[in-house]
Amino acid sequence: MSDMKIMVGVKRVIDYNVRVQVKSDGSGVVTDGVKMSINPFDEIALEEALRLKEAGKAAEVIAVSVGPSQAQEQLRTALAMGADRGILVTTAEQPQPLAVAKIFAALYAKEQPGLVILGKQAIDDDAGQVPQMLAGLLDVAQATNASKVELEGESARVTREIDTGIEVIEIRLPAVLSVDLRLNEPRYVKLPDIMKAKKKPIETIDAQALGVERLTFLRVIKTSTPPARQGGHKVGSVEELVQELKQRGFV
Amino acid sequence: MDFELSEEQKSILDTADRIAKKYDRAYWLECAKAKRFTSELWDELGKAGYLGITVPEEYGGAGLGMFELSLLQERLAEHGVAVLFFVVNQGLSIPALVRHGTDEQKSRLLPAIASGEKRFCFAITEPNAGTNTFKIESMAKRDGDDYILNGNKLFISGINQAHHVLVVARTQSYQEVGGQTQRKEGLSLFIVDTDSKGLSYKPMDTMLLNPEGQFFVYFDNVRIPKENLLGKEGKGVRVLFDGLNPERIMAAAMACGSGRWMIRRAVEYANQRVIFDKPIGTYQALQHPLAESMALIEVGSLMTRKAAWLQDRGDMGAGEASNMAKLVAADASLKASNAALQCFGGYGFTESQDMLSSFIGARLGTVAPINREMILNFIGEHTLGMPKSY
Repeated sequence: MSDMKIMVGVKRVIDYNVRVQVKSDGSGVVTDGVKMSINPFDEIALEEALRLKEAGKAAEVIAVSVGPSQAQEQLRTALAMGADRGILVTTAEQPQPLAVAKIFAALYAKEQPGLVILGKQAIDDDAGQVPQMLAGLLDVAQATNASKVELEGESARVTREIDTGIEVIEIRLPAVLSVDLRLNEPRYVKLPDIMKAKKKPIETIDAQALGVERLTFLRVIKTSTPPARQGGHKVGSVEELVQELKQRGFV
Repeated sequence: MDFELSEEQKSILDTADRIAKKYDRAYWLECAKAKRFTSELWDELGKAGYLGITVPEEYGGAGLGMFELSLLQERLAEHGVAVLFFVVNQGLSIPALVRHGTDEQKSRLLPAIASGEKRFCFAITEPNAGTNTFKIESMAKRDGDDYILNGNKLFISGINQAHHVLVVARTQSYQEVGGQTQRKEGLSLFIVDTDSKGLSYKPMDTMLLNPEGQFFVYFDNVRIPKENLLGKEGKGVRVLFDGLNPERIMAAAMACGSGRWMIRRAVEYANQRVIFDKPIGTYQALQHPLAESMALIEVGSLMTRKAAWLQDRGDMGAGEASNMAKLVAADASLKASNAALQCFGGYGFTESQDMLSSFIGARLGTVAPINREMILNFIGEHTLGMPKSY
């Protein structure tokens, strides 16, 4: 399947180094003037797609972002990393996982990729639902939380980190993969590639044009900061520590 | 007027963040203590295409300008990873080579510089010629197809880690050109391989902590093929001056970045160090000097960007702006380092807190690569139109 296309999701999220602040009215978090980046798990997904392409196992890598028009910036970064083209699906408001999965399903029908590689979750809402929902909507195989991916002809061997250890599964393509932190170390953007990326195409499509009208299914009632950490105190010895833990019912 | 950075520029900062996360302060410190070149960091920057930012595209570079280069320098320094070679190699030598090199010199030297394989250091200062550059005594005499170079240099950064040294020498002595009035004549620049026969060096006993080190350099009948003359014989001042603005811009960027690093370290420390039942960061006596330093660093950083922007446009105002940027940035960085050190109290003087060497580095910034007094002389004379004072 060396003529295979790989579709990769690239979500625009608050950069992981930013200390996130909750809006004073509790309606969400402050994003104005805040550094935005590609969701780190999506970067790993993109890196994997690029490595597969470089190994001759895929012909084209398409980066897809769903969200505001500013997500162009993250698509440009994806193109600079090596994606061949970008698709920006614009939405009037921040879409929730099911809407994103439906958008990807519509693009899947259009592009017919052999693999859709997505981050296992986005670091902003931590929902972790799109890959599974997408595989369900498409009725194709899925392998989640991948920490190793090997393509062999029409199938993929995927290593997953699960609670009880390491699981290796084999799935038939086309398939949806979601990737875990230890799959790879994403490359830096190379300076000459940033300039080349300017010439690569980004197609913009409105979500409605893909037949996805409804973007939200849940209502966020309130966003608040976690309670401040209560100050601890020092104990004099191990015995005292064990006793304290016992008293509090921790051991 | 637009202060927004382009996507490329933002991306440069982003990559600098990532690379400095991998080769971080601890890595830099380890290299500095061993006086070992930061080769892993350098290779990583080279692979990512960041060493040839200002090298033209036809020679394997990115063909960008001082603006982008200074952004990278400031950001690396902001992580405590200040790279002196960016001042002498990228800042001083590459611009001079790009502007004055022959096609042969450029195609021979620039691709290897852009890839990170080769590096330049720079040799101008002599025992009897510091800011009085025109009094340098190193002499290169023509001998057939070669020049023969004799002389001594000092305060030469990183020559043991460089492949070439750009040497400023006289091809006609101060007296031969006619003394004071003709002092700008008779200077020439040479590209000298650091492994040339007759070239030797030994470390100086500076008490600076950085990976590069400072050296005495001796030229004893060093033979230089005439193909390695950079620019026209005797007209080296123009070549030299084309390297000095970038050098100042890079020094300013480094000072701003280091200042930011020291402020961040101090804020982290002050916010968790509890004395009199409150974090010491609560006290205005510590907070205000840091806040004031931060504002001044921002000013220095803005002026550095302006100077780089002018330099990239080939604007004649770049000299004045570069000098002003260097003055303000170095002063701000020194103020920041002083305020930061105060937060650490006695612990600031311990090796494990890793603050004192940056304080000394910031102090050096007001002396080198040009001292603040000479910058003030320049501004007084050229900007304000006052009599030359020295």
